[in-house]
Amino acid sequence: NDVDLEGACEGACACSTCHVILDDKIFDSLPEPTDEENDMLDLAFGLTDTSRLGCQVLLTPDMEGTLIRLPSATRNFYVDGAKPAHH
Amino acid sequence: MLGRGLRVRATLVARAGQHQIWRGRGAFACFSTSIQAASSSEKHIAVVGGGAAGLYTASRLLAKAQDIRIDVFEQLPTPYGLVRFGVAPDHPEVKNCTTKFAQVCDDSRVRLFGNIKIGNGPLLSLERLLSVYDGVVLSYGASEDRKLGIPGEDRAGVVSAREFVAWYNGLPEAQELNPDLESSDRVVIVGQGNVGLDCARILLTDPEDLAKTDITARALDRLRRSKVRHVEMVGRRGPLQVAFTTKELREMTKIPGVAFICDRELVARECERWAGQVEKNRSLKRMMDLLLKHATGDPVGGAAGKERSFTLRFLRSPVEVEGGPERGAALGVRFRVNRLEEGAGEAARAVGTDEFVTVPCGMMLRSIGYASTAVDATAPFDRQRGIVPNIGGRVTDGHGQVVPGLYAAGWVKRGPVGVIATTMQDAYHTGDAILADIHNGYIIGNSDKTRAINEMLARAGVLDKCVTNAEWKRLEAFEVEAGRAAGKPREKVTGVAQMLDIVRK
Repeated sequence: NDVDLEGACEGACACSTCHVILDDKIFDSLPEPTDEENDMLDLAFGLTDTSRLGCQVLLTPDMEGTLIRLPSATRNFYVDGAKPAHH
Repeated sequence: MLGRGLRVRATLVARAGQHQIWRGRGAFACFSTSIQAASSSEKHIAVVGGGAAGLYTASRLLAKAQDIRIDVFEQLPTPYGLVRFGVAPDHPEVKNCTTKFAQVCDDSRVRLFGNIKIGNGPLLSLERLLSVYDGVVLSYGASEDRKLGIPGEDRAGVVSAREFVAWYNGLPEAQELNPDLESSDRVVIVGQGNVGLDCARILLTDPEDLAKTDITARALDRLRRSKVRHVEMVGRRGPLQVAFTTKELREMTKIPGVAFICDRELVARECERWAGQVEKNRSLKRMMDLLLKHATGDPVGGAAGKERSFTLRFLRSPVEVEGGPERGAALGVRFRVNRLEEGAGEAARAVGTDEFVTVPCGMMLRSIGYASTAVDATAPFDRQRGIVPNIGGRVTDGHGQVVPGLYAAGWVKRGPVGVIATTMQDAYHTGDAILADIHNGYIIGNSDKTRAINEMLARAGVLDKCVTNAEWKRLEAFEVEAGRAAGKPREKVTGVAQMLDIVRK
């Protein structure tokens, strides 16, 4: 998907840097996270009830316009326009 | 000095390293030469240690500052630190972060000086670096062990888990470890963290399942001939105090043919006693659920009757390592039984009882943590806490004063705890401190520095001795090619002399 999100393990579900916070409706509509994803979420900073790993969420057209939030301590997001490579 | 076209009468009030505080007259009561910072003069930063902490710090600087030059010093010909020598061979996805590391090293503003150890002699002392660079980042991690300090700890057969991991991951200085995996079918691991679990998993996994990883050929051969079948991992405290994480524990429950044994009743009792705490802590709750779900077997009879087993043993502190019965077990590890006091989680204290138990084994792996050391004799280092003293990444001296231009990142800054993602956040934090200091004029660049730096490097023999980024990439290509025939991602070169041979050709 064309979302600029940093992931140290490049989307392999082996870290927690792509941690995102979804809105309730979208969160509920997604399939349950696997044990593997939950194990990584355990280590994420600022975990919420609607947190997921960005690399495990498949964006679909009906999610268009939804707000995806990042945990407050995320420093991965470049504010100067630099964009990490897409995965 | 203050930029072209600007003349101000000012007196230099203080100079410390690369920082200058000026006090002017009249309207310019006190200012730093931040006017200089506004013009494009390059900032030269030295990074000591080319692992995750150093490279993520560099990455942050490169992303946020244009006019920056970074020299990364790494004592081995190969960079990446524990990502290469610590992460287990059967966790290749964790090593994906090296793509970013390679980008850092490839950046035209970065020079990699591999095979160069800072602190080796006066020409490469920390003091020398601070005198020519605008900023120096200490990110050299932890290359030693915490010790137990018990009698018999220096017996043959007592092995550092850190060294065992380094051995199977190809760290040159660990290649002569020669662990005895054939005299006995049992290994005891002291300490309940992820490093210990990695060791247990590598010892109990079918070697054929490791054959296509980047484990060294020598280690694979030893594991194929290994007689080890039972691993017991012992912790001082209880199940709520384990240091490992759920993902790694889950893997232990999934190794084909290996029984997972732990005192289910103890776990259930502790969970009930501290139910309030456990419920509130998501990761702890998930870990306890996993333990309760998978724990089988009788903790007293233990592994009897099982072909292969992994046992988690709680509430035991090793007090002595004795010689064991001759056949089948070279060592007898004597443990004092503990009980828990005071609180749940971190608040719990282990208190010794009068009960002792001796466990026979062929090898004991000590896995109670890594430890850092000082860069050289004059470098700031807090021996008690085992870290470089600092405030938010700015290094302080023995009196709590910030040492201008000196920074720390990673394990050497906060202690040897934390996964790669933790180190990344930490390194970005340090990078931001450096950027703030640049922005506020505490770091003042100077393009003339380049010459002084290169002179220093030449005098210290660095330019002759170093392994450059281009050479490292050639070495890496060699390793990848060597691994191809065996279906491995790479066959690591495990000797420095051999590495230098390959890159100098």
